[in-house]
Amino acid sequence: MNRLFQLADARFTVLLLCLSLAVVIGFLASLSVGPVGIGTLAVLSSLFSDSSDVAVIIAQEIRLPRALLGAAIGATLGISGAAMQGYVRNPLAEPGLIGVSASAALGAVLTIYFGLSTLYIWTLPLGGMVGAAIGVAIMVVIAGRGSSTLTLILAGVAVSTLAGALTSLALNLAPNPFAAVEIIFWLLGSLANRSMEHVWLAGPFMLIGIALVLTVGKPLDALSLGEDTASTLGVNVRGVRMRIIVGVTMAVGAATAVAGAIGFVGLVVPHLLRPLVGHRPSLLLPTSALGGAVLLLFSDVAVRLLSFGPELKLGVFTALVGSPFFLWLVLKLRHQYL
Amino acid sequence: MFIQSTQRFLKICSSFKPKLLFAVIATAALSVAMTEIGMSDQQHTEKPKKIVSTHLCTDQLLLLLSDYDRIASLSFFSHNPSMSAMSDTAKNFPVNHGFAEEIVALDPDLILTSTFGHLSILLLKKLGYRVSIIPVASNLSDIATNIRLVAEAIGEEERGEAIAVSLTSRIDAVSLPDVTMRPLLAIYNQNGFTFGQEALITQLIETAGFRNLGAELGLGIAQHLPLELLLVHQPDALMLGDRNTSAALANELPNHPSLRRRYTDIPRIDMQSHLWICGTPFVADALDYLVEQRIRLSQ
Amino acid sequence: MSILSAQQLNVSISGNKIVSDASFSVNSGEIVALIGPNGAGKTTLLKAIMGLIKVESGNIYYDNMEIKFNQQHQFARYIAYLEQNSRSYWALNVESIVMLGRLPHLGRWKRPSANDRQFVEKAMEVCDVLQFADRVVTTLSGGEQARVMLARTLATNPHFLLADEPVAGLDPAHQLDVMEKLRDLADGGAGIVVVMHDLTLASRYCDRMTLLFEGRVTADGSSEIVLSEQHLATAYGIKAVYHDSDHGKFVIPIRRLKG
Repeated sequence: MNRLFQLADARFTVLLLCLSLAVVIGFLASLSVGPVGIGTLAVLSSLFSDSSDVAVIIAQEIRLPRALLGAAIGATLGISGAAMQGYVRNPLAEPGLIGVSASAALGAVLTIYFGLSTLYIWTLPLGGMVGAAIGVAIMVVIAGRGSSTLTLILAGVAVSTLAGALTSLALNLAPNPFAAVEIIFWLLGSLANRSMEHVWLAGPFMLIGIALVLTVGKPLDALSLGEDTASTLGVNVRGVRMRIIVGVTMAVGAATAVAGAIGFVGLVVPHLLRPLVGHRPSLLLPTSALGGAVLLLFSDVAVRLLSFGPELKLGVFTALVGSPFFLWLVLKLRHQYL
Repeated sequence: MFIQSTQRFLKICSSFKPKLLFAVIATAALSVAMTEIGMSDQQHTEKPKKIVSTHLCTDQLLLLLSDYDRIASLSFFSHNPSMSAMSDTAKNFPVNHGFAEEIVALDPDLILTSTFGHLSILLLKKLGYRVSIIPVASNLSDIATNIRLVAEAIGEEERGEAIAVSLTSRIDAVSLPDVTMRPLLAIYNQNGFTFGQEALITQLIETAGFRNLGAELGLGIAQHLPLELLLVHQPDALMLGDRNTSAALANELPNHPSLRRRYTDIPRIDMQSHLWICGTPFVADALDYLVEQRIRLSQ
Repeated sequence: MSILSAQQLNVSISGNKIVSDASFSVNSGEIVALIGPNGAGKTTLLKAIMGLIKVESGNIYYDNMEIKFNQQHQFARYIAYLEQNSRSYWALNVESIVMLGRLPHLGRWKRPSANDRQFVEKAMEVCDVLQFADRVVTTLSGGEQARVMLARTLATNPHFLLADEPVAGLDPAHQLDVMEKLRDLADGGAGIVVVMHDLTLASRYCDRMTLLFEGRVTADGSSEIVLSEQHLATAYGIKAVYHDSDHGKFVIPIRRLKG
């Protein structure tokens, strides 16, 4: 009996180590891949140099922010998916699918095109967070009390479509000849050509959001038995809901404000990792954060390797990987929920 | 970039199916009515009195060559000062968005447009309207040709000839003090786009005694230039996108910190894009400006 | 010696009065059977006592501490609740489920100690689910799952346990088993409220009964008083035969009373 617990603990530790190793490899790969060939070691030594050599500038100003954002945004999306799924007890809840990312993108777009973010740069992540908050609030109102998968997904489609349409509308109304290019950025997401400025803008919010979500692990385990039972097990369900809402809103809002709406990471990662942690929502949180970072870092490397001509948008790649999963999940869950 | 985004916008407009369908029905109905009273049979020999332009570049040539009372409408880009060199003049004229329905309502004698036009142009042709399609200028000699084409279409051959000749002589008069050293110029516009081979701007740059990075890298018209490549190929001068454009994500890239850090000392060439995005006589001003910069660089 | 009591509770759900002026109490060391026909308000009363449902009026006390709506998490170590048809939404294994019962003692960050694991093991043994320890709970039969859920409440080692139909769906052997475990628990000092429909089982294992009918406490006391012919006729509309044996009192419903 005690042996069983120790076995589970050991397996979890090994999984965490493997995922951390994969994050490190993905991070190094992200630093190493680009249109200009610089070896991994050269990039690493460039990171700590203060010369103004071109390799140093590329490493510090282009590759580093891209890798940092890849890891942080991946972790954000992975853990947000895991937390939302744990809370609504439904494996299809995900920032992209239920419209949180799309409404965050809308919020960010509005701050940019009303010129707010030019005046006060910090309004950009703030706009993203306000948008995300509205998206999360709609999700909680509609699906907070364990409503059906169908309701959740249909509401998500409605919110996503509306937010996407309003984003396009805002971009078309703005006196901006680049609307078409930028609509694609906001709807599909990209890490290309981001700078350290974006890391400083969004990073702190993502870290606080992730940290906040990490505190709801055990309550989510208890919520596996439903809200009533969880309450009688000492879980303050309203407090948990608040922490998830605030955490997801901050992290996804800030992430989307600098990289656009990247879909499916929050769906695929928890789904793949769930069996490896014995379906325990508490263990799924840290592993999904790491797994999300791995998926996004490698997707971003793949996007750079696969690009012929203009760079493929990151969301295109994650959707290519994610949509089949989504379809498969829907088929699997058809009898259970729909 | 502007040309490219214009084209993109036009494509989006024309793929907007419900509106297009409506336009088809409306124009078809109108054309039936007009054929019956014999209006669609135009006399091509006489000077068109009501001219519509649906393209930024033909807008400007039309303004230069035609009497103003013959111009019925210009494209809506013509009012944008960063795209059109004649936006002040253009503001006196109503705009169209290239929709067949708008143009049919104006009942023009001549429609001027460019190679990358609307689907609605095909429709208007089918309806019997006289349409002149002026190709996009990709080198300096195309400009004079285009001026003559527009002049012929609107029956102002003399005016056209005068403008074309004066443009050619201005271009021929360009002289450079030192042509052995050819500094490398990099165009880096909004969203990281550059212009390479077969772009009019490349010929302008080369005539002014520069080399164009986009062309040397084998890129074509309006293509994405990866930031890292721009950093590696150390140009002698940078031509970034217009600074006066409205707030947009697109402006972030020409302001990327890596450019500021690596290229603090490199001269910036702030050329107004409305001078060169279309093949108009204004390219001579663009050329003069570039030559000026080229001379400044060699000092 | 503790007492869990509710005084004159009134509960309405979407405008319908479900519980009216119900007073109820359970002391440590006793098992109280909460009986009554379907729709009498048993589950609602239980949830109201747990603070899971807002009451219109009335008070609930654990000793002299008031349990307020949405404040039940403060009493989690002392009062356990077993939901009717309790199930797991995720494919957790049995021991993880039972370990959830230790959550009130662990708080947010503490990891389970050897002591916690002992409680879990004991609870699984008591509920005869130890052999399923590493099985995924959703792959077990309904009866097996019910025992796992009971084990989860026992792992908490609560002062009071409110169980909503814990023996529904169990085979006779496991029904007896569960009732005996509850008896042992009560003898160990816990107070237990159990909602059930098997009147014989109730009268054999419980110290006291409370009969709920149309939201009101119609009878409260020993099984002789509560299961009187009159009460069974009013509340259930049935006639039963009674039989005293060495194993306690048997109450067997034999027919439904007309109109």
